[in-house]
Amino acid sequence: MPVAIHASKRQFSVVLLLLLAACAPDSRVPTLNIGMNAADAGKIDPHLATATTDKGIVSYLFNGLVRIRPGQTNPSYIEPDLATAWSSSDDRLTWTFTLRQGVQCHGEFGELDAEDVVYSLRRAADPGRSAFTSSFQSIESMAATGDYEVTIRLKEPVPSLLGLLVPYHGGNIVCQDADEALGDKFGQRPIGTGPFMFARYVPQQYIKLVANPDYWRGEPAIKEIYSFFIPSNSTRDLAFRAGELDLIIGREDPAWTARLADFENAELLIMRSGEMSMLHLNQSLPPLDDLRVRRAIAHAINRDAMVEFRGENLTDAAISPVPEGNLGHTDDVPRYAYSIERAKALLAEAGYPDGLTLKAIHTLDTGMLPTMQAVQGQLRDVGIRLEIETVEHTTFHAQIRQNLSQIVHYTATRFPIADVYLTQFFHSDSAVGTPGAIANFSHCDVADAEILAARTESDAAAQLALWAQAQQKIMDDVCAVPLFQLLTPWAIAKGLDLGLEVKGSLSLTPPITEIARLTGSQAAPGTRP
Amino acid sequence: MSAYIIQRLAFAVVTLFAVMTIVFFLVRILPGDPAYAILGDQASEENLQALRQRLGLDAPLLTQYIDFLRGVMVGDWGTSLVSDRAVIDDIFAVMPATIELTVVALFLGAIIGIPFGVWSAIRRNKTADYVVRSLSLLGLSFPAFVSAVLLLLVFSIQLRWFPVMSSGRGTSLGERLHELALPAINMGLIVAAYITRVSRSAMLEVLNQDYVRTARAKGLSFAAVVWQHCFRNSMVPVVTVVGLYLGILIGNSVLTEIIFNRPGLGKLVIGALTQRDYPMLQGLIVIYTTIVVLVNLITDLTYRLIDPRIKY
Repeated sequence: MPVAIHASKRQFSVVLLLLLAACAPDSRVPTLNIGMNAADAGKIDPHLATATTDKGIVSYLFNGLVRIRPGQTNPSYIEPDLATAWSSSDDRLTWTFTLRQGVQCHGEFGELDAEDVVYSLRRAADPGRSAFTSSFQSIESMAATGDYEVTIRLKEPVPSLLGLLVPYHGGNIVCQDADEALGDKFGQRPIGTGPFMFARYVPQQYIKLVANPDYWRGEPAIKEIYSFFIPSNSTRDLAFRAGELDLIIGREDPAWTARLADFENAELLIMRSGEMSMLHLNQSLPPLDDLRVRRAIAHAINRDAMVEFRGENLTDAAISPVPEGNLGHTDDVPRYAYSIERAKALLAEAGYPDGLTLKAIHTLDTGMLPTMQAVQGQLRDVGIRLEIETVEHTTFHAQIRQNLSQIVHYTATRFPIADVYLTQFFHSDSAVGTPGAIANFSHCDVADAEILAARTESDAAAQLALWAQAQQKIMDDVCAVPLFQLLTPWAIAKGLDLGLEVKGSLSLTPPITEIARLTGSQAAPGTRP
Repeated sequence: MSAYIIQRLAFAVVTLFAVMTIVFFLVRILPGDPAYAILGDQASEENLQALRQRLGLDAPLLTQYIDFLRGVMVGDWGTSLVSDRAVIDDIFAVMPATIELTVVALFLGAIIGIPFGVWSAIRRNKTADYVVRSLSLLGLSFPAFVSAVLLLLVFSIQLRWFPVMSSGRGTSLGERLHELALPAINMGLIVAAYITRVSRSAMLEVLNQDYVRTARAKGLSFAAVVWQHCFRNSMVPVVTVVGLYLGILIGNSVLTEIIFNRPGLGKLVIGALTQRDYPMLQGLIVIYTTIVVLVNLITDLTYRLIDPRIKY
């Protein structure tokens, strides 16, 4: 009898081992593990996704009519995507796009044709289903003028129609049948035409994508992507170090990049375009209505020290109100050299020989607060006492829009065309407290005419000149003091080869395309000890 | 007994109602705008206003409150403003993970804490007592996020016994326990430290009772006195503490959940607070309050099992 028991125990262990083996992940499938800084997924509907994490996932699922070459962010790198060719009328009001044939929607939703594209663009322009409708306000009509031909008519020329049609925000093309079949569930199971397909969402843990075997540029080498939600910085770092992750978003902190240098098998990947950090000087609240005071502040800021403080490889100094790398950016703007004497003299001239006190409402966000504290220190040197009232991040956003802060420190990334930054931050229609309020915290209005004229200017060179004039006027009036662009660092395992040179991406997430592949030991899952 | 339970349940309903009302108005008094959280910072004031209207956020507070109460009654807790998913789905998707973690941690805490507490009490003012008391003090004063990182550095990075993050990919019981081990130990040690101290003082009090002296005088061995006479009598305060602590643990699990990257209610609360996701916050508060009220009720009922003299 004891023998029989012994045998059954052994049988039991064998069965248990087999079961465990069956459940273990298949280590032969090339699987990419990404660590994102988020507690959970937000919206992964391409026309509603606004969080960096969500936009990153969306960027692997969808195509646009055109795209900016992967790894680049400047619209001058626009190339064909779902459209193989396009042309515009002389007045740039009518655009015709010829679509690629044979592009299949994910799953069983068939071939993508002109009707799908028109449906998708209308969806992106519909306030009920899209967060990016303002981009499409200048479109008069969209029509399928053939099975594979789409014609777009504009009310007025726009700064860059092609820029609207890249796979980013409203330019992501969804498949009509899928959207209609899934209805409200589309955001939980997005269907596109991109290299990867949505497979699974596990709340607070991960989103799993799988390779699209029918992808028209070729089947991706990476077969599965797990995008993990890891809000703790140290956990992301440790999991990367233990080989559980191949790609993680880093911290905008020089100490983090220095520590990464000690990791074996890892490289630093700096993504542009960065987040532009700017001090908006609120002209509606005295004493900042006095140009001399605003200029004094500009002279008091030591930009080189700022860049050194935030890490030289993580920051690009900024001198223009439009970030470098944007279409239309110019360096040819009035500059205010760092000079304590000049700042003090301007303050004395304005009637403040003993200095003055300013109040700023600021977020507790640890990514932004150190910058403002450094500003506080520099302003103190010229006799300006900056009182920083720190509030929770959401409260900060609410209060600065109620015009409660004399200086607003704001960081933002926008679609890299000068018009976007100029309109949102420096056109009087966007001033906080007005119905069209977006983010004009300074109440700047000196460049309204140039911004408007550039938007509808059909000659490219003239348009660039208008944008340059706008930037010059804004800096002459010191509506804002640009500080720097804070770039987004990522850590990438040496076993992950993206297959292209990466300078940046619109979603600030490294491009994972059909050519990205995994080599080396860190690549495979199941190697976890 | 049943009258007592009914009375307690009625009181629970009143508590729930009060908490829900307070939370409903409190989250709306906070500055911050959910419409902004949804549309992002490129939306114009017009777009924001249109969205507020669509979500019913521009309706009078009283109307919103009545809608909310009506929803709670029929089990419709609304849709998350941030993710568009049903609040109840999001909560129930992660609640088992939090309960799993806290129950296992509490169990670990009890099987470590109670024996050590008893041992420490019967060796009062001897070396063992000092060692146990010092260790429990250390356990209580150590922040959970520090011990978590230390555990990760030793057991995941150096020894490589456990994964750093709970990936959630594991499906078998073995894999799940493997991922649960470190977080449960991290929380369990803190619970153990607390339970050790409570069981020590409860035991000390019982050891000084007359009946203990009598039992010893009639010739019973010390071990028999401790385990048969003292132990059960000392457990009433311990059960109270464990019961109260379960509620606190569920609330405090958030740090452990974040560092070991486990799903859980704590992460939902933080996300909902920062993004002013009103329906989600309200749903979570209902859940938290229900758990605490239920656990307290169960704790009260357990007293009778331990001490039959207790009457309701």
